[in-house]
Amino acid sequence: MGGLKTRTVGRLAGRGPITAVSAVAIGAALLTWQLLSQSYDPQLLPSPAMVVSAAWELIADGLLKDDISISLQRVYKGWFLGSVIAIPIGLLAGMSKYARAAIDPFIHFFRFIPALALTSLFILWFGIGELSKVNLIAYAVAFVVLVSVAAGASAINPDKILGARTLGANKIDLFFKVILPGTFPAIYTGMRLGLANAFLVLVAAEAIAAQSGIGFLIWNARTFFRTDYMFVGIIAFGIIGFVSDRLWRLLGRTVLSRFLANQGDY
Amino acid sequence: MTTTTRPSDGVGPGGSVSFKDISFRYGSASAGTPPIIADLALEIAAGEFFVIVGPSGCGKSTLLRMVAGFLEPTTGVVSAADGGGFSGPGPDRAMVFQSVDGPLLEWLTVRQNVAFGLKLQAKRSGSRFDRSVVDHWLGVVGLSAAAGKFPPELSGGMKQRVQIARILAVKPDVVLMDEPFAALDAQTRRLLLGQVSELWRSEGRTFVYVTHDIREAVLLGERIGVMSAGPNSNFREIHTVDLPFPRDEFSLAFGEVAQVIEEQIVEEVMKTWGD
Repeated sequence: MGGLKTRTVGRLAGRGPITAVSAVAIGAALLTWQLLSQSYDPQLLPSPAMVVSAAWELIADGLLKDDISISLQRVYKGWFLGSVIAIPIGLLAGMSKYARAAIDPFIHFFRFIPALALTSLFILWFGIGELSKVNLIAYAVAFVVLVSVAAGASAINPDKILGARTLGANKIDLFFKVILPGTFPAIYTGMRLGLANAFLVLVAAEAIAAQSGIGFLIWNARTFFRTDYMFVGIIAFGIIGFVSDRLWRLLGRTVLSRFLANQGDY
Repeated sequence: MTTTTRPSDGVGPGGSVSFKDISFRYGSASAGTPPIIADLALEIAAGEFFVIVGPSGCGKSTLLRMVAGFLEPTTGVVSAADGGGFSGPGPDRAMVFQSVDGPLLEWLTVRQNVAFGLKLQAKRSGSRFDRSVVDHWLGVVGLSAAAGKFPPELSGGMKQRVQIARILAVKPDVVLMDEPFAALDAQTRRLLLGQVSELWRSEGRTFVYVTHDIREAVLLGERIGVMSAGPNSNFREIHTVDLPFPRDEFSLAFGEVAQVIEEQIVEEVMKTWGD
């Protein structure tokens, strides 16, 4: 069970050299960084070694762990909330032209209002606590997911629906056995894009009103001119974002693989 | 397999189809566009294999979609011969589509695709879903070994066999086929045509089959309806093909029938070029 045979074969055969290329590229980037840092003030560009020791300080006193954990909670809560709201609305907009006519103007109006423009308003409405941050992230996630899901639901091959009806499917069967599973690829891709959006907004949310989180770590480091801490925060973002995306991809390749057969391998 | 009696002798489980005073147009009459189909009448007997041929755009598929319940005629009635109405789509008039990649559910295995309609039927009637029916149909279309595969892993010919299996599994009174093999290579098409003809003779259901391919039409059809070019299209002539099954496409008689139909279709196609 699982993806296409050709894909499995390709993955098995190509894994070794591909990993090696990635490792060499990372090594080359670190080396370039090291060389560059030798000709600049460490206040502007700390060397990899300095960043590692800064990271070690932050790990040792537990600060980094706390910041990562609080940031991840905000990202995942907002991502989940935004997706849970967006998926049903997207399905509705994709299935019914009337629902779409009602929803479309709002989607295409709010979609262009950056989440950052709403930061102050959300603090006013939801306070400076977690709620405003989670809601802001949810907002940023919801529109990508919504547009993706609506497009996916409306693009289901009409023969799939007619084929199910000719076999006796009623409206409820159609929704649960054809339209919803047929929209899984769009939900999956939309949520993957939404996850990147969530990280984007997180920094802004944590910069403005927070006493914790990776975003706060970065902004706070500026106050004390700890460029090395800034680098730790930036790299931490990259790593947790990367890991989150890989976990999502793993889910796609295992549990959801039968729904994503035509999704390519990226 | 050769059987002497034909399903259309009225002994099988096939259903009849009756078109009465059918016209069809897209949009409203006030738009001034002439209907695609006008004043069409046709009776298809229970157990008959009826083939519809005609130039592109004459409304062949439209007729089939009316029987399937996907479209309503603008005027007139499509029903069983005794007047029993067809209400909406349903497994009593199930359709095999031309599209190879569209109709199958690619997140279900071949076995689950064939079981799809059966499970819906079992749920409606409150009866138990019978797995052996799926096994039977997988065997008939030669897909037992591929039962665990997903549609994207199958060839075009295999996908169409899955479509045929999942349709016949729900025991339709009328089997509708809309150019089911048009997208396949010649060799696969030849094999599947033979199989469809055999299935019709062994299952005894009514088949209504739309095609562009005259050889296909004469291989399969007891009667072949040649439609005139649209708009205002109708049956130009309905040929009764009195050749035994399985038919020999290299025989003289086969060629004669094919030639008459070919000439009529060419005439109809030429009319549309005149405009």
